[in-house]
Amino acid sequence: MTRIKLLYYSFFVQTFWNYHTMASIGACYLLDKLLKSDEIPKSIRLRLIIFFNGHPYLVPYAISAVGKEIKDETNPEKINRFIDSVVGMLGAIGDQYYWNGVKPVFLLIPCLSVLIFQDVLLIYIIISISFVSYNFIQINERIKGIVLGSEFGFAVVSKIRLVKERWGYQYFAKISFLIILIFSIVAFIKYVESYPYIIFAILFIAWGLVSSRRGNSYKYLAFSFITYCIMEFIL
Amino acid sequence: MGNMELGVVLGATCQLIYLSYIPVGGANIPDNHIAANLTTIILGTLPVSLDLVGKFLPVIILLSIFFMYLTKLERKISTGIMIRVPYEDIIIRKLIQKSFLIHLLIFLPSIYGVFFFMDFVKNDIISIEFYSGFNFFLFAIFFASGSLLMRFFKRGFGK
Repeated sequence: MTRIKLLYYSFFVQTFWNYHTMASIGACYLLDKLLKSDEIPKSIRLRLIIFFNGHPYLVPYAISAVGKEIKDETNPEKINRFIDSVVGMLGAIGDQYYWNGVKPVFLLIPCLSVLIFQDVLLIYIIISISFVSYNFIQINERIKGIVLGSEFGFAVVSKIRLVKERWGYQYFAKISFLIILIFSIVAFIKYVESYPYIIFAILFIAWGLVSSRRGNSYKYLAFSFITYCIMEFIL
Repeated sequence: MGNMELGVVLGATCQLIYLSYIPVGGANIPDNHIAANLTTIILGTLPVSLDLVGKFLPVIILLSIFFMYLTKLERKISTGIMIRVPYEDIIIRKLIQKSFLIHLLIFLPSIYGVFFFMDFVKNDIISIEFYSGFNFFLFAIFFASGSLLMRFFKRGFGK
């Protein structure tokens, strides 16, 4: 029951997100729900409030580990050092795995299905499966974080590192790349009726490629719009 | 809503554009969810066509940028509060309540305002002649695809 409650409160990790202390209030709120307020040493509470950030799905690992160490009456200085060290790792690993891997795959599969299939019912089924699967993965990660954090304490760091060993960490981004490639090719075949369209489609993909390579530069976006205006003029 | 198919096509296109925007790391990004949902509700009774989706894509992009700035405003207000409050005296529960209140006060009126404005100008947007919806649809799809391909090629392949 406590775990279900904690899972619920883990959804508030990014509440009151601000540019000064980032996700500190949400993290502190989760710790408050994990332990009674008077159980949390003032120095740890203050350390959490001063600055805390991390990927929202991985934050429960760190906070429940902190909760475990507080219960074990570990030296608050050590706990504060743990918080300092874990912040960067939570962001780096979580962002790469979820924002660059899991999320694109589970968004691109329904996008591709819309382009390929005509049957609306099939598309709804694919969208529903994708929606449920993504949420299953992220909720599972939160529960895992709560369980492993409260079991391993400081040693949870090694468990967070294990995210990098997952199959998806290495392959989801590759799958996304392939889906987009298929998406582009299918879009060519399906929507392009005559050779001027093919030329402009290639040009738009090229501008997109260059734009992303240069970091979404406004200059390349402007060039693309000029190409678009020419297309409007010619076609 | 009357037309789920329109929602699916509009949603899929917006997700593709959104993915090509999304940075890996914390940053403000255009809020395509609210914009696409609002547009689908407003266009719900119209028959789906790529021309219609394309005609509304520029509007959706503008709306999502507008909602991105609203998120930024919300975060700036939170930052302002955080700077002023002495950390030792913070009552977390109250800040969380305040956060919900700020969010509702900013977003609810904005969503309703945008909804009524969009509903009012819907027919004007549909009747616009200076760009073709289908062409813009193609532009958005291929540009986003190109951008995404490069992003995954650049940083996406595993460790």
